[in-house]
Amino acid sequence: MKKNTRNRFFLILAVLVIAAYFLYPTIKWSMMSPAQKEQLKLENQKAYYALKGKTINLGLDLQGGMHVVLEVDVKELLKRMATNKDQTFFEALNEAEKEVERTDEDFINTFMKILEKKGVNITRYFYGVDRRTKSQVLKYLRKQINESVDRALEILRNRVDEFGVSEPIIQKQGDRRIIVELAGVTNPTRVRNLIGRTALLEFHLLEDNVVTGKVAEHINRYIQSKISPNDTSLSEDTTETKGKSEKNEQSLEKMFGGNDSAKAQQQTVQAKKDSNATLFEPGLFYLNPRDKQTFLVPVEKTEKFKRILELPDVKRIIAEEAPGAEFVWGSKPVYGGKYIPLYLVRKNVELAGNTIKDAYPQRSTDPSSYGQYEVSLTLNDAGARTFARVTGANIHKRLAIILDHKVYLAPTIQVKISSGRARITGLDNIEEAQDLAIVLKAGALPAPVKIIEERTVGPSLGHDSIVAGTYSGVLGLVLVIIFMVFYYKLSGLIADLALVLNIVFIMAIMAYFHATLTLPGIAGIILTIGMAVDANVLIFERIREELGKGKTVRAAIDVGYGKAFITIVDANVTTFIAGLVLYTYGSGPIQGFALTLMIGILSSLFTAIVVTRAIFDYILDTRTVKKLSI
Amino acid sequence: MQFIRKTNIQFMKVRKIAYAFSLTLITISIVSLILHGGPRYNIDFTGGTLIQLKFEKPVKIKSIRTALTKSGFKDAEIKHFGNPHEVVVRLGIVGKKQELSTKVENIIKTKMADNPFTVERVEKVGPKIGHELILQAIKAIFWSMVLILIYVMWRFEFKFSIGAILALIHDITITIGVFSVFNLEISSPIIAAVLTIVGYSLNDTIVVYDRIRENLKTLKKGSSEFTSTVNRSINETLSRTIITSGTTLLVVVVLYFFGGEVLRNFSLALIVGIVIGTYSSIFIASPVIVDWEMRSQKQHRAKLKAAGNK
Repeated sequence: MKKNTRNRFFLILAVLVIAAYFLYPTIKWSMMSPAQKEQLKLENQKAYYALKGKTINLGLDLQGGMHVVLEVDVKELLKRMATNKDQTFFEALNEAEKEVERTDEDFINTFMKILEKKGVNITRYFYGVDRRTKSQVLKYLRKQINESVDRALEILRNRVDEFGVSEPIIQKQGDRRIIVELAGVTNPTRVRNLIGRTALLEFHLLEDNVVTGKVAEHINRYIQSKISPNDTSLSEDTTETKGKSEKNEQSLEKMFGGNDSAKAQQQTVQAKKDSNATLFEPGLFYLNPRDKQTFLVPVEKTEKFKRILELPDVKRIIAEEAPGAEFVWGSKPVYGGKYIPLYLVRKNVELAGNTIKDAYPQRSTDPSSYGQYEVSLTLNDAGARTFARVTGANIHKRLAIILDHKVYLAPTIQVKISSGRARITGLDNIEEAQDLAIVLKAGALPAPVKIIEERTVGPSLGHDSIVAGTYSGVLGLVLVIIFMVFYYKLSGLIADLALVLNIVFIMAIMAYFHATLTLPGIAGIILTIGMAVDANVLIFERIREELGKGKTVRAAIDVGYGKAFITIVDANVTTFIAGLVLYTYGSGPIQGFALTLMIGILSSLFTAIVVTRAIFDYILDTRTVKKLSI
Repeated sequence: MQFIRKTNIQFMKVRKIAYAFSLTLITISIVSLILHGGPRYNIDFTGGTLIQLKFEKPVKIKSIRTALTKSGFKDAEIKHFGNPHEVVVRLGIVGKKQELSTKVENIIKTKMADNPFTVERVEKVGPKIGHELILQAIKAIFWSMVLILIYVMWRFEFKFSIGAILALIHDITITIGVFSVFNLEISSPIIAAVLTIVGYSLNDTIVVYDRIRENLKTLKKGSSEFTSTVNRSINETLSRTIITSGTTLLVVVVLYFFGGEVLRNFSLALIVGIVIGTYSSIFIASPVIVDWEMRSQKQHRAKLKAAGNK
């Protein structure tokens, strides 16, 4: 075999092996039952998401689910921001709404024009300290609209678990819209309500360290009792731990600047698994050694710990040791994304979120915390009074800022604040400060959104689509294969092999990029089957021509591939361009089609030119061919 | 095995007939579009609500319509979706009520309690999104044509791109025309199919162009053998053209019959497009080159004559 051919074969083999490697997760994933997937998610969250991230992602039209596009409800927002609302205001608002629907013009401009027609200046309803002139008011309104999108986004992200879906996608689109994609959701009404629900912002006090410590101790004892029923003593000795537990502690020590008190506080448990309770294991939670008031749950154990907290025995512990308090989860992971904080929070609402007048991020004004950021908070009069009372009575205690039942932050009350203006300090970067400001304002000024597009596909339709798509794909493939053999004989068989490889490669590339396969995407693959033969047809027709002119087999093949190459590239470029344009301007499912089309073209170029050539060369090298079967 | 051996069909001789035929098709398409007041858009472009229901027992459209009309939904469009068990209900934008679909579901549930159903699919599109999608579709069609034509002009001469442009416009018009004549809905996937046809049809055209260019290399400028060379080129590539279009058509026809109702119109658009696209590559794109060349040769000769008479 010539060196060239041999190299080509190795290349193809290498590509094949890589393709199989890329495709393995998808095959494994599709063979797991839903119960098995649940089990994996519970046991090892990291592995679950790692596996899923390497599979071909099924579009909503194939796995069932809901796709919602939200836009700021400007009308609602204006209603809530305005003062001195009168009949004219509401009339103008309604008229603006109707007109915007017709003309698609900017809402605020339209509203302002309608007001002017009625002889009213827009400043009448939005007057404020910095908002005296029309342009100032307009600037203010637009700023509010832009900010409200971020608020709505933050609120929705905070509610992510409530959607009841494994991986909701919540993203901003442009600067006015939010896209929400929920795979496998079965209750669209509930989702709509979730989206429309006003955010609830509240301030609660954290339970103090003594009580929290006791609860931690009891829960730890309980868990341990479930792991090794005979051994109920607390093991505080961290030196004899082995393996994973040891690594965990050491890393925790490093992070918290390990010292004796830290060690004493670390509640780690020896590993002796109880065969009945896979729920119970060591390292399910830790007490944060820095503040001894927050629990830290490793991210991959959150599912398990949530279940444990639901157990009646554990609930009883909480009820006995800390009546009037409840566990509330933190909203974001901490310490490099490894742990989720869990707080023991007093049920009493100290301050309601609608007393907030304003909140904005700024650089730290304290010389001692230079380089850090803070949030400046302003309360209204009623809020200021309550705040003064609460802060006065609870100095050095921690006040949790809770949005939709998730603790955002629990800063320590340093001093009594009677002015109604507070600073929340110690934030590491501007993003944290911005996020906090957004959350605080969500209590003051909600972000009403309306659904401008909603597409829901039920799981049975999705399943039917997959079946129909796969069936037609296989049928089409078989027919084309038969035809090629029939028409080009052995050469046709070679082209067929390339065709099958082509499909494998397309799927492998999609798996590698965790690309989304939609129903039109399946159609794209099927279309590629029909089009992929084209390249080989071009080559084979040329070869036939050259053979007809009397050239030798080898010469005919050389010329055939050579002359056809340019034509093949030219021709496929145009379809590729069409695919590119489609991908740019198309929506989700269409993009899926464009994607498979483009990948298919690239892949078919490879298989048609490199693979079939290699096979031909191999045949020519290893035996004398007098007559080509073509 | 070869279907098409050396052929020598006189494509160029019949091109006038081909032009006439194409013109007829285009006229029918345009007339149909005018009569119907434009293409029949689905809710992707007009906005509205669409609900697909699957009933346990075969269901009559009349019963659903009565149930809905009685509850105030007079303008609902109701159709079977592939089989007597499945139905799609389409409603235009009714006021600003958001929860149309749940309302409709409840109405049907109560009025037709003896025939339980599941909701297969719900699609709601606000008017703004509808407008935007139309704009996106137009931009997409525009840009794909522009980019492809730039490519053709780069790879071939100017007169080749004229043929390509005309062939493209021809294909798009007739495909949409077919949908109009048969009163089928145009949705986003249909536009995607049209764009694919744009790319694919050009694919065909380029293969012929390539051969023409190759064969013309040996000719002198202004040769009288221009027409016959073009004709020969088409004949030489005929085998490949028919087979490739054939295989693509094969898979798309399979898709049409077995790919499920959701993809049916999409497959139809592809079928029409492939057939018309192949036809236009042979009978429009290439003859136009010939006529263009004939015209410029005539002009050239007239110039020479005028100069010679001086």
